[in-house]
Amino acid sequence: MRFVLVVNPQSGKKQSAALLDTIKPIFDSSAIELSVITTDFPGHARELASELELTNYDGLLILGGDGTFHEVVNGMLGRQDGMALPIGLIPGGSGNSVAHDLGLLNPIAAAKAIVGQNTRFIDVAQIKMNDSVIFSINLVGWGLVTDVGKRSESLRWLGPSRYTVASIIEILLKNSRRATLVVNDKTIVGDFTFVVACNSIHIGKGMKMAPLAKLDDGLADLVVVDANITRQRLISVLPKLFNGTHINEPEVTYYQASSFSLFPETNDILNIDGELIGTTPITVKMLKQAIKIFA
Amino acid sequence: MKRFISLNTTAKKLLFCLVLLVSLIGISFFAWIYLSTLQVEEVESATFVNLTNAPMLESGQNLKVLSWNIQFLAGNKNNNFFFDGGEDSWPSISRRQQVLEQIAEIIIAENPDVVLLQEVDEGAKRTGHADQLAALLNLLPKEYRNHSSAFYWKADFVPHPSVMGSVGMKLSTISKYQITEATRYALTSIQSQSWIMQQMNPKRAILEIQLPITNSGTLNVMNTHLSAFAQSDNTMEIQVKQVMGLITKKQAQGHDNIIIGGDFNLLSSSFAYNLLDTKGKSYYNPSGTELSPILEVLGSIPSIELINGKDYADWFTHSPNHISGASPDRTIDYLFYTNALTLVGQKVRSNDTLLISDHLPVIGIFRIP
Repeated sequence: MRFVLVVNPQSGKKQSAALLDTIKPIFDSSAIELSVITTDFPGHARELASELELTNYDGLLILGGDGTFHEVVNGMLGRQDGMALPIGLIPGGSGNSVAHDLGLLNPIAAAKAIVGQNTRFIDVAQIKMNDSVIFSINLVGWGLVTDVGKRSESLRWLGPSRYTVASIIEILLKNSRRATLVVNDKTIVGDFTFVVACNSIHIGKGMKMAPLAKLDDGLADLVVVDANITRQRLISVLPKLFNGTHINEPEVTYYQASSFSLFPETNDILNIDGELIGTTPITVKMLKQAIKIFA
Repeated sequence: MKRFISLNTTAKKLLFCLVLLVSLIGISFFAWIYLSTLQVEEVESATFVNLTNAPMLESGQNLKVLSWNIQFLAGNKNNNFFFDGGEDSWPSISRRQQVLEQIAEIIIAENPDVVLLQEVDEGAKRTGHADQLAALLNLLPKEYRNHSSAFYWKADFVPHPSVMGSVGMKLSTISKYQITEATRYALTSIQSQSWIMQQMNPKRAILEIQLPITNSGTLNVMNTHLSAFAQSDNTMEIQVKQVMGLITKKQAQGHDNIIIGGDFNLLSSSFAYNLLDTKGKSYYNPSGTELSPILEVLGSIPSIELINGKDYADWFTHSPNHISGASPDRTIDYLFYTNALTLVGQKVRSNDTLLISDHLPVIGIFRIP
């Protein structure tokens, strides 16, 4: 049995090499041959998943985080030959949302699950934009969640605390946006603080953004916060993301839908699987159980 | 001498620190009020929801409009809440559920095309932080899923002994027909109140929705709840002027078909004023109604003839809360309409609604040109 392992050395705390040394014996002891490829640049994992000759492999493994998984899924689903291998996740990123949902946050446990060769199918969100399609495995965010991402980029000199500082700044600014959200049988035209559509329960470092989400139900779980929320309420509601109780708050509306569309008055960049990419307007369709993973 | 100077410097430092501390507390206090209360523009877009494939109004059709102040589902037990000067406790969850079901039954029985609701709670401590509109929509047929709301009282914490928690109250308009625009217009706050009181109290508004008429322009339906207990200054006069200013502006823009309904908290005639007891009269202007600018230009439901007629009691819309067991004794809820619309019918439904709210539903049927 042969697996190709894509290692992202830039993921998380950049400890992929050490992690690789830890997990490799697990594969060796099961007589599984690993072909290790280290990514050299952003987008490399996508390129590998899209262009690598996979005929002789039984699975494509990832040592990285949500960003690497996002790239691999987009590469795999964009392959010209239509070939799709089971994907194995060995969490090594700063955000490991899908691994969190699968209960495989420990790299050793994740490696053992892969060796055990148990597989399952999970959904993928197909995001159609003006002239392109992006696939998402974790989240599609718009509004405050992208504002925080953008702001934190300009605060890189602050280190990891830049996310907290950026969040506080953006909550105080609270730039709401007007948009049309079409979900289920409703068209909602209004001002929103943010809209996040999730495939997994978790996002980022363990926040339960969509506590009712299931990876294989064919539904996106939308968390919609309208603009009527006061800044003080926003500050008090956001900590509830860590246990998922924010969905009980009156300013939060929760939808489950197999598809939805978002048409903002002013188009903006999106947060897709933790990366600031793409642009609105978007139409999202959930592809039920579109990829197979080791779990 | 040296010691004296040293003490003086220390005192100055202490004084500086004290001033700084007081300033910081003051700034924090005002910042907290600002950040935790509803902050709105004079005119701002409101959120609206349409059901996919919601129908459009047709020229020549009849349109039934129902306006009702539902008193946040408290039920009309002559509740005398703190804002009326009383000490009654907030309604129980079972009471609110019972009232909600009664309201849904009345709406289903009347089958109006457009429903204008005032005092709809959402996120308020007094009503368990519930979204009362969402709960009501769940009890109504699916055709009523086109709706829009605008908050006019919202604060995370009101430090009043009878509140001590969040408030959230809104105007909600429900329609069987497709909505294409929704706008919230701010009305003036009570002039004599301080800035702090204005932030903590309701911020009155008009919620306008626009319903397109197939091949024939639009119908603009406005929903409002004017200030109460504002006779100490000219707040009511200003708010009525703002209402008329908006309607005149809309007409100048070519929107001839306009209905505005709600709880105006104003009597419409001296006849109506003279029917009240001393306490009742204290809430209104003894020298004439502030509604005059509206009554001179727009049609009214109930009409002035009916309000001043021999069956005037049939057109009362509100029961006083300071008298136990009181029946309705005044008309302060109306539907006003422009003369482009033809009045087909009007009524105040009172036979089975007296115990649901301290206001009665006002109903009008109009022909769309």
